[in-house]
Amino acid sequence: MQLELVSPMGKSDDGKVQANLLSVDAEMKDLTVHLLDNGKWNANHLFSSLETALQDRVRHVSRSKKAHYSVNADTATIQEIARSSDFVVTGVGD
Amino acid sequence: MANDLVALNVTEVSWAEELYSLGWDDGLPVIPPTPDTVEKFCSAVGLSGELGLFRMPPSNRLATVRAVAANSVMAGAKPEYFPTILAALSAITEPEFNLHAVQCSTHVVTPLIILNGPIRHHIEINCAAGVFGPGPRSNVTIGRSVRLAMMNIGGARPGELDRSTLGNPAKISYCIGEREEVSPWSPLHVAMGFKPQDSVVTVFQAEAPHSVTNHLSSDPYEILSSIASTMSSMGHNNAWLMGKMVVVVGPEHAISLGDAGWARSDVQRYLYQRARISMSEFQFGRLGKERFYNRHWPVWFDRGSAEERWPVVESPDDIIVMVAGGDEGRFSAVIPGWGLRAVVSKVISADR
Repeated sequence: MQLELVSPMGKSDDGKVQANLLSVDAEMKDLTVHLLDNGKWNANHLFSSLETALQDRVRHVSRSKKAHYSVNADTATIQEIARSSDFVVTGVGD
Repeated sequence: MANDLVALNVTEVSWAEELYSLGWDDGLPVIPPTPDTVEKFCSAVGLSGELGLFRMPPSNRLATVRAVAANSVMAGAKPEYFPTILAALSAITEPEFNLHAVQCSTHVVTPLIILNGPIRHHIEINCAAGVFGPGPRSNVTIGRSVRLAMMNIGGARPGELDRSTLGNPAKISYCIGEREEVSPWSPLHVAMGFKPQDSVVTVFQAEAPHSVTNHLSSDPYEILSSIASTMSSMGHNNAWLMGKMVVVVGPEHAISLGDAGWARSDVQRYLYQRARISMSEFQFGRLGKERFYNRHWPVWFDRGSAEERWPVVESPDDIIVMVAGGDEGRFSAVIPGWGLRAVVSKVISADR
């Protein structure tokens, strides 16, 4: 026999995402990078090393830290990062 | 066929096994979410099944009433539980709860659902013996409905988007009621500002409960010393980053505290003073060298003093004190938290 079942999965978007993406031709030396530290122990060390590695390869590296790993970055911080940066690295998992 | 319907070929004998093939389960068998059973849940709250309620991270798929109802049917819930299930899901999808992080964390964290008010009686929520389980149907299936929705709509499955290193039995179901009738204090929801006649769901970013055994003492200081000691473990997140904690005081302990005239605020202040971790412990007992530097510690915490003791919560108000459990047995429980803003409460509305 055939059972007809209601899917428990909810509705997804149709796969289209609206975003302003970097051009694949963008030169790293022209880019501004932001490092958003989520407050975990190793984020500080990782991003310090990353900042050193990127400094001579991109136009500018900026950093900020969330108040706590468990809370979202505040809206003003996110807006400022979006306004002033070409791409963001955030983390870390642990 | 409507676009949220799935056809499955089964036999009268094999249907439970066949449902596993769909990947909608939590390891336990699920009840088939047929359209007519799902519709009973939608009717119970007077909402169209197509209504979109909230997006559930990390997938951010839209939770429709039908999808949530399907998860509730699968969990074995009754339609009369549905307002509570919806309120709990609404609470955990509030931005301040940061469900995305809860769903994906390497920690054992899961939402603890606490129920207060008349709803406990209306749907026979267990607040007494065996409050953390197993059973009864109401507690377990409400918790399971929420978890199945988190997995199916939210998309967080172990080893995939749910990155929890160890998992947690409470990730199957975690729903309790407060035993307001034997508490010497006001109900938890009243302490939070709700009216006594409100039915309220409170969700908390929680670990599993840690038992506190104290069969020796009727003295409040001694009972609370046991609880404070359990709160002072190095193994939970509060030790490193504070946050909130839930303390479930068992009725025998609660009677002793109440008879001695201790208010809830007295309990919170005593625990705040005593539930602390020393610098020596943070150095893992290795003296002479600071092995652990916590950049989150504020300036008022004296890193240079071996006698300094770090509180596991930021303030006494971050210790959420409630009463639950059976009449026999001098036990309480401590439930460490995970994040800073770990608590959201919602009124459960039967009329939507």
